[in-house]
Amino acid sequence: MPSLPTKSTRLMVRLARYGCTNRPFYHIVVIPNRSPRNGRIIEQLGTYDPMPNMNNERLLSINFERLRKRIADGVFMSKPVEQLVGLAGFYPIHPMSYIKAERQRNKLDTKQKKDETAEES
Amino acid sequence: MAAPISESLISLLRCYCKSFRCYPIRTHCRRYCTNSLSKTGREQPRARDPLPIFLKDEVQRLLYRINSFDISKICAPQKVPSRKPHYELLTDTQLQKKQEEAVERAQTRLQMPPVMRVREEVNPVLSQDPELAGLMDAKLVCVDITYGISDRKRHVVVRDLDGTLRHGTGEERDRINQIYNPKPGRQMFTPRIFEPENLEAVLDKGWYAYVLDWACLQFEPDQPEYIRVTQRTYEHVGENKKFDDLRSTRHFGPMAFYFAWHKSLEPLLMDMVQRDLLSDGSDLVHLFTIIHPDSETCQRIRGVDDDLQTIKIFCETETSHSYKGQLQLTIQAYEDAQNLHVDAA
Amino acid sequence: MTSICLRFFPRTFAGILATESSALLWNVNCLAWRHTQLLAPTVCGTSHVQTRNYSFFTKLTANEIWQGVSGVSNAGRKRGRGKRGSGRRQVDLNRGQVHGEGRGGMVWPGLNAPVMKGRELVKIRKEAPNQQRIEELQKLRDKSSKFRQSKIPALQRGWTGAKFPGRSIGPPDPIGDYKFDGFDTRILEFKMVTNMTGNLGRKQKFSCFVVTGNQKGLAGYALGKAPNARAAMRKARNRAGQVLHYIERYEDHTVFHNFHTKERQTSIFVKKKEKGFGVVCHRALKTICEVIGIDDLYCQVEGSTKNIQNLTKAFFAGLINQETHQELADRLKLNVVEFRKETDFVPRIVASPTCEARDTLEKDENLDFENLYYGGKLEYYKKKPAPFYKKLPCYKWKQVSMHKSRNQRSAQLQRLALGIEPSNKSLEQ
Repeated sequence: MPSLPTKSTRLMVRLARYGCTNRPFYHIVVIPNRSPRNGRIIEQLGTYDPMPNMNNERLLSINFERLRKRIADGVFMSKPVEQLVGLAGFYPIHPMSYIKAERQRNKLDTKQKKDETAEES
Repeated sequence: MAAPISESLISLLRCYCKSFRCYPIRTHCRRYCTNSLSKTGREQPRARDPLPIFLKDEVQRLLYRINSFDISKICAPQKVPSRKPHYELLTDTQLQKKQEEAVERAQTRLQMPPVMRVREEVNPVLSQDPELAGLMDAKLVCVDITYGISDRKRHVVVRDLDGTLRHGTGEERDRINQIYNPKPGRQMFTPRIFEPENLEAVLDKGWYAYVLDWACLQFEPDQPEYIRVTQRTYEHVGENKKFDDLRSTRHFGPMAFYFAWHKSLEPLLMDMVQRDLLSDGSDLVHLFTIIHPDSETCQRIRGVDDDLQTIKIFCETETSHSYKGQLQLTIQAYEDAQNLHVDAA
Repeated sequence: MTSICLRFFPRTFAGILATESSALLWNVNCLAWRHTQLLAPTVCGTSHVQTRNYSFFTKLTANEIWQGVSGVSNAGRKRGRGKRGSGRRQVDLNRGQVHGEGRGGMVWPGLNAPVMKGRELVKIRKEAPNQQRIEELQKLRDKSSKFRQSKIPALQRGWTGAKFPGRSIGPPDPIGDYKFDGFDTRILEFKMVTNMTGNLGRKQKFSCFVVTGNQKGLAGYALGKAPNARAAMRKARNRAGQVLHYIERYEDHTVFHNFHTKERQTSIFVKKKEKGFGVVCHRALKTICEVIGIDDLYCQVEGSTKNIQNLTKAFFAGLINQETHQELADRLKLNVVEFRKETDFVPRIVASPTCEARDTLEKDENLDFENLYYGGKLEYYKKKPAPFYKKLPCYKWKQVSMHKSRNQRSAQLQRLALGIEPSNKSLEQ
């Protein structure tokens, strides 16, 4: 049954998960905030495939013309979308990206140190 | 519990907040779009670009003239799903109109693929962000799927594992364009026919038009594979003197241009003389002079109207040592044949 | 004496009898001998065994005995009683019997051996009996002698495995010097027709309707009737060879145009088709097309589809009354132009009028080549009903589940071709 129009008209640009079990695929959509995750959309702006392909790439496609128009109209972005758009270079890089990167690096460092000490002993 | 945030990170975050407060979003977008492409330093000067010369009106006209218009070959029976032929009862004027329409449609089939030089492998870097190193275990490729922009101008950017944001390489661009804007008939992976060994095998069979048509479909005209395949095909045609196979196809013009560009016109010229296509021969020589305006032939041909004379001048001035004798013999044979004809008459 | 002989020398007795008794005795049943042997007591020594050397059995011919067994009188036979299945089928008990051959293995010069061997006279002598031959004969006679039609090889079958229609019966017999080279005759209809007569009652004949043709345009059809099958076929075949028509074909593979014909209640819509289409029509029309040499055609038969004779007559009439493209061009004074998709619809002039083509067209002139020869009729295109299963919900769900994996097989094949297919299952498939 098609969903009724929601009361909240605050528009978001966010990810809607499609794909199958163990194989996610996201649509980047413009949708009212209160709608369900895969609910009826206003517009689709692009796609995001989080599974790396044969060339070790994650593919992201965005219709920047429409995105620009939506931003000008005052749309909000969800955090994952903000991060993606930052990594793409359209927005400044999101602080969480920096934080996550640092955390990863620290993790790797500690792991390396552990391996080294294990080797020595 | 999360590790304490480092000093460098704090300063970055401050920059981020500042950027959002001081600079409106639009400026960021503008900055992205108008970011000048920093060109990588080139070691060697690039080869001479054939495209501007190829696209000249005069050259196009010459190439079109050289390529004969044989409608029965252009519209030869294709392998299509079986369909009943339909019949019409027409007056002479109606019939003529239909024939003209058919000729127009056939002419579109002779549109020549452009001759270009190999595209530059320039990967301008948009920004360096070493702070992002370690974030991702795979590259992020972002493509702009705005409606109405051509594939050649479409923005494809890649965020590498070390945080560098750069434009996609030619190979990446081709692949991404085929994923998001697929051209029918073009395959994601290069067909094996274009591998050197397989290409040789197919060329030995004489399937020149087949290979060239497929190459047009699969590659862009400035892709290195396209240029390699087409040049090898033209060389094979020249070696085996099978020029007639490509007459009345769209590839004859680019082939003639290739031979003129690389100064190896002699086999083609001989073929034309043997087939009594002297006007085509002289057109070919004129093409040569346009491509190489500083050649001796260019000066000597000025004002010469006679086709055979033009070819003779070319034979004297430009032909390589190996071909000179052969070309002279061919011209001689042609003249003798003409004289016999005149005598008989 | 004879009784003792029977008991102790049963096999040779037949041989001895051969010299002494009449030919009638050759018809004696083996069983009768066995019967008498069974009756013989097993005790050694002389004994009385009842034998009948001369009985009704030996007096009558095999035919007469069998008729007595079948149980139908002469009068009844005339009325056609006891024809289908009822009554015993005659069995030739002496099947494989050759004059002079017997269990004794005797050599009778003049009968089963030459009289003279070189210059010498061959003498009557006894040789060892040919056991193998005797066994063979026994096997042959024991075999079931039910009438079983031998299997017709697949390529020679007609429309059905066992029946005649559709089968080929060779070319017509030569008339004088003319040999019907390349001709092939096919039976279209083969039936038994009955006529009630005054004195004999039902008089039956075979009716054979055939079409003959040389696959190059010459063809003819005829009906032949005779009391036996072979004669009927022969008559029909030869008559058909005498009434040949030449049928014009377009490029030797199809008709010139669509047309409609009718013979009584059988009407046919015939459609011209492209090369490679095949002959898609009524099996009788298909057979006719095969003998004429038409390779691509579509026909829709309306009305009586079973009346083969009317069907053939209608079809031939239509084929003979075709108008070639040149005739059409001359009649209408217009160019007949062909457009093919294979050649990108480049106009190809098939026929031009011999005189000048006219320049103007009349108002409301019907120049639609598809319907030009229907005489104002329009074909009724029956809409094919969707198969019953398409309405069922399970079909819908099946489509939904198939949609999910719609490109997977072809993508797998492409990966295989490129050598990047990871799964092993692909190799099994």
